[in-house]
Amino acid sequence: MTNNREEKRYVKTILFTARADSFYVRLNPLVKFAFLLLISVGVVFSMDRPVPDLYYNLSALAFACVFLVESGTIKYLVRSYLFMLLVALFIMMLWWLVFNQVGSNPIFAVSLGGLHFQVTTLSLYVGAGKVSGYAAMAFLTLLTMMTTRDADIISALRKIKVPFKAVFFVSIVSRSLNILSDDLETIRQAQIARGSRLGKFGFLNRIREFVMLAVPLTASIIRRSVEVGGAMEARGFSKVRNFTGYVDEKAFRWYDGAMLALGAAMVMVPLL
Amino acid sequence: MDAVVIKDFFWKYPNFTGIKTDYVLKGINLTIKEGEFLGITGRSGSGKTTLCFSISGLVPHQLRIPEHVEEHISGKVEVFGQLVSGVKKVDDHYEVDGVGSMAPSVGFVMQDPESQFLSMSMLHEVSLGLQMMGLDKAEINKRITEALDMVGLGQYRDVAERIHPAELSGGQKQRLIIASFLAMKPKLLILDEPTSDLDPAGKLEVMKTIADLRKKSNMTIILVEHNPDVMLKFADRIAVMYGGRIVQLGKPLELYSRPDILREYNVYLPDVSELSEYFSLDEKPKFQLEKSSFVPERKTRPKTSRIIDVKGVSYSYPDGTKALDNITIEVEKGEMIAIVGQNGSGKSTLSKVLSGIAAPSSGSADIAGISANSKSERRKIPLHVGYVFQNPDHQIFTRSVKNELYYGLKNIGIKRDEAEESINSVLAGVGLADKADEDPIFLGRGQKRRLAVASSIIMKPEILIVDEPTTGQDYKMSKEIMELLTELNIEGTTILIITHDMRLVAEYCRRVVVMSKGTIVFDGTPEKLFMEDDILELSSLSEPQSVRISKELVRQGFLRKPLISAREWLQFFNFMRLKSGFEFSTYNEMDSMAQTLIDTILDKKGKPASLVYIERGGMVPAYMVLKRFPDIRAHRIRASYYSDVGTASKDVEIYNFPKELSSIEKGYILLIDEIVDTGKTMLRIRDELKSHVDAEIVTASIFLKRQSSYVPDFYSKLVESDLWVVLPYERNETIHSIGIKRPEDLNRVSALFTGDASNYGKIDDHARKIADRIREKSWDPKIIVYKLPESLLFARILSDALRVNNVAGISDREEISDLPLANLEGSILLVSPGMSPEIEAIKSDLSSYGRVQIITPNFEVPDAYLSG
Repeated sequence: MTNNREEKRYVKTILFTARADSFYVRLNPLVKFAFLLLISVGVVFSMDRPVPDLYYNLSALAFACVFLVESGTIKYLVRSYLFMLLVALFIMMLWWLVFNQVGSNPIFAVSLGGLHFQVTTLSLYVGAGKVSGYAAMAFLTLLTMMTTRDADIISALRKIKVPFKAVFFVSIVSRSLNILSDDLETIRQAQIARGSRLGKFGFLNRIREFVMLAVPLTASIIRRSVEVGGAMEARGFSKVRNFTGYVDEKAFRWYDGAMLALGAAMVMVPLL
Repeated sequence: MDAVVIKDFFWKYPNFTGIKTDYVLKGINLTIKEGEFLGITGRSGSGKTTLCFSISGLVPHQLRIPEHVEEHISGKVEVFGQLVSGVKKVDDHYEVDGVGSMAPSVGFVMQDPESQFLSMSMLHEVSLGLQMMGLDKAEINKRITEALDMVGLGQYRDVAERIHPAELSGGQKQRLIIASFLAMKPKLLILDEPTSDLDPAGKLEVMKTIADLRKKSNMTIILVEHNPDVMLKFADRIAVMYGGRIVQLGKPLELYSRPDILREYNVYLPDVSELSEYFSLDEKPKFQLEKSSFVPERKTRPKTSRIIDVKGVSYSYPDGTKALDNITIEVEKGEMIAIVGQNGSGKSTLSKVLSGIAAPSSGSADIAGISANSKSERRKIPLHVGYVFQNPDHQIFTRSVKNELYYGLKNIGIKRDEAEESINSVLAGVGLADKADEDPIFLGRGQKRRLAVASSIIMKPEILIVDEPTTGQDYKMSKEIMELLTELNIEGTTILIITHDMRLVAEYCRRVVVMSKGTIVFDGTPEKLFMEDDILELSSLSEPQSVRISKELVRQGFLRKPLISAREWLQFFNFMRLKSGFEFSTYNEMDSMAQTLIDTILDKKGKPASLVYIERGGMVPAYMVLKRFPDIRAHRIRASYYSDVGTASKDVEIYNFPKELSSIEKGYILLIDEIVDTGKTMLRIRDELKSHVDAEIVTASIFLKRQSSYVPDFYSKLVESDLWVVLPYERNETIHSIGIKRPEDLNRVSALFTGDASNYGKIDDHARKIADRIREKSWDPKIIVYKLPESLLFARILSDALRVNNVAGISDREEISDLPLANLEGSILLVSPGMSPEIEAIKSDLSSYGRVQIITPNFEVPDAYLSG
């Protein structure tokens, strides 16, 4: 694998990889998190109304989808989370419709054991507004995680002067998760090589195979933790007196400012 | 000042299981001078890494010793005059003493780079230590640039901040870790097998950097390493550890010149140590150099069916990186292939495609008849392909060794009681029978690796892929693993080995595939690879020491072909010992010379119209010619300058003349013999032929003696006049003659005739066994009549085995009348490829001259049948 800038089209992020030259990857991570927060606040304001602003929530959702495509991460969403998300959102919608009987023009009504349920245009509209709001927040969060490198988060924490040991702790945790993820992948491949996918690979078998990962993974975790401790000590961690706050500055660019402004503006919209 | 002083140091790891354990370090006494390069080597588990931990202060300071500290540690370790590890009495108890970690004065590069990454980018990894030192930013930037340059990663400086450690190859990771310590400019740098994951060129490159740095800044280096080439090249002294003690300490040249002692401690030896009788450690020969015709015997496998068929396969990772680019490879059943190449060349990815773990992005891969392109089919590949990963910890799924073996069998639906016998048998085969109920987590590294192999082979795969079987292993363990794999290969398993170890490639594999940047750049024999300097350089490979030495001798003209392993060198020296005074050719060598001769003749003269061979000497060369041109009519001429007891006659006597030759008008007649000695026989026959035929006569021989008065038109090899040419099909005759003329050489010459595993060698064995049976039956033939052309070789060998000089070949029954059968007192042995009406007729005609016994050896079947 080469790491030449000219040949590198993708960078590894917290979740999966993303196109190195995409807009969202280039954004300052602090800006991304701030934007996520602002839009989430806006969506919450929107959902808090008696009738949520469906168009506002759908706009936020559309925004997230556009950048998921632009950053090349949509395929991961589809492969890994979309099914679960859709199921969750559907259940949410159903729950809302069943337990919030609003409106007076029923499109659909049913009586069950003395209980009367109806679906009106208003309840549909409100339900859609709420679900789209949650979907927007979920997609935006995934977009943020899938386009942010953990190194960028560490840099950002340093930039806002979080104490060294706290930043280092986050770095180690993040790094350890990476290693374990690699180990897990190798262990999973070893399972396949030992025929775990032969025969009927039903649900129960999948659970069984997942549980069997615990043995090698636990051994790996224990070994790694001892080695990481040794590595920290070898680098002089316990002897640190003065720590230089060396950061390869990721400067704020004009589009960072523009995104923050957009976020601020979008917070205002539901309040108007 | 001394960099390190260790006095009477004992150390035992605390354990909380209540089980009594032994000291890992026992009475270590060691002084390392400032600026010295000390190598530490020894078998796995000998205490090398623990010694490094002790010097760096990690042991005991990083561990919690619950009580009785004095039972765990005694003695002291001092680094640059400071007490790093020791024990002191405080009131009524003992406590650990010493400053502990001496970072940044002491740097410690551990074995596994993965666990040493503490940051999320290349840049921050190198800067971390510098930041902890409190250096200013300008100095940090300067040191980062220098450090990356030193380890060959300087080209990534501009993008270092964006490169995540996970995106680096194994070798790059190791280099990066080394850079992060070099940036801190330690006074003492400890490296625990830092280059185990690097390709051979990378290994030497990194070590050279460290050695150069040491010279510039007087850095003290402690290196734990198995590779003797690295030790010889860089270390000032080597400490050999065994059972927690330092058992040998001295200069590399001194230590490695005592191979017998070092072998006891399972230390890897340089090739030349195995050949210490013939070479000094600096590769200078101790023997008199002279030109030699020795060609090593290298076993060739018979062709079998294809088991792996990969066509145009490419593979890209989700992030777009292309790991394989248009790979095409075919593997036959029973092959043992090494897959080599630089770090990141695609070896592991290819193996994952072949084992069904990864699906090709494009192209087709057929593995044991299963398509890897189809998801449903690919699931079945693990039934046929076993994969042993580099880290055995990743393949242990259960809490007992026996259950571990059963895990794979369970997946293929085999019940536990059915599997029991198989499990016990495999455990015995890998030497783990006594560990059947143990928790695999507590096995030693070598045992875990054997368990990983066992877990794969119990599923009886047709193909076994092994990833870096000898990395990080001591000599004994490496040998055990390779012998196990060789045994499996002999039993029919196809083995693919991913490795950087070129010595392993030379010793065990007859085919090597070299990968570079996702493509195959070489596919052939190791000996061919070692001659391709540009491919070796492109793939960051280096030839083993044996090859390096022999290539130089090939360049100087002393050797014909490079020798690729210590074993081949020993064969060579054995050959040289036997040779003096003899020129011995194996069957294959003769065949090779004959084919080259034919090529030359074809090139210059075209195909002959007819072939005349001098009986008996030309029978085998004629056989080899007729293999190429089975449609050419062959004629025998019996003539001799020597009597049957080997004394020279005054003139050459010709016993017969093939009349049919007179009718040849077009083309030329090829007259062939094995040796032109004085030249008289060939010249006489040539002249005789010329007087009878109009066609051109072209003469050829395999060997030409320098003394010969006649030089044939074509010959393969010129030999010195005083050499006795010894040929494999003249075994009995040669031994008989040597016994008379040079009895002192009898044993040596007899030894020349052993161990020919070629197809020719098999025919030779077969013919001699038939001769034994003929003798058992008391047939005692006086003449061997053989059917041309198929029985030429067989008849020649029988003639030697039975000591029957009277041989005569016939193409059909019309030629019987030319045979010297008058007044024959004895039986006729008729050699034919099979029974047929023609042979029956020949037998009938011959019967009028005497009793006829027929041999119809079936060359495909070990036992021939005899009739008569």
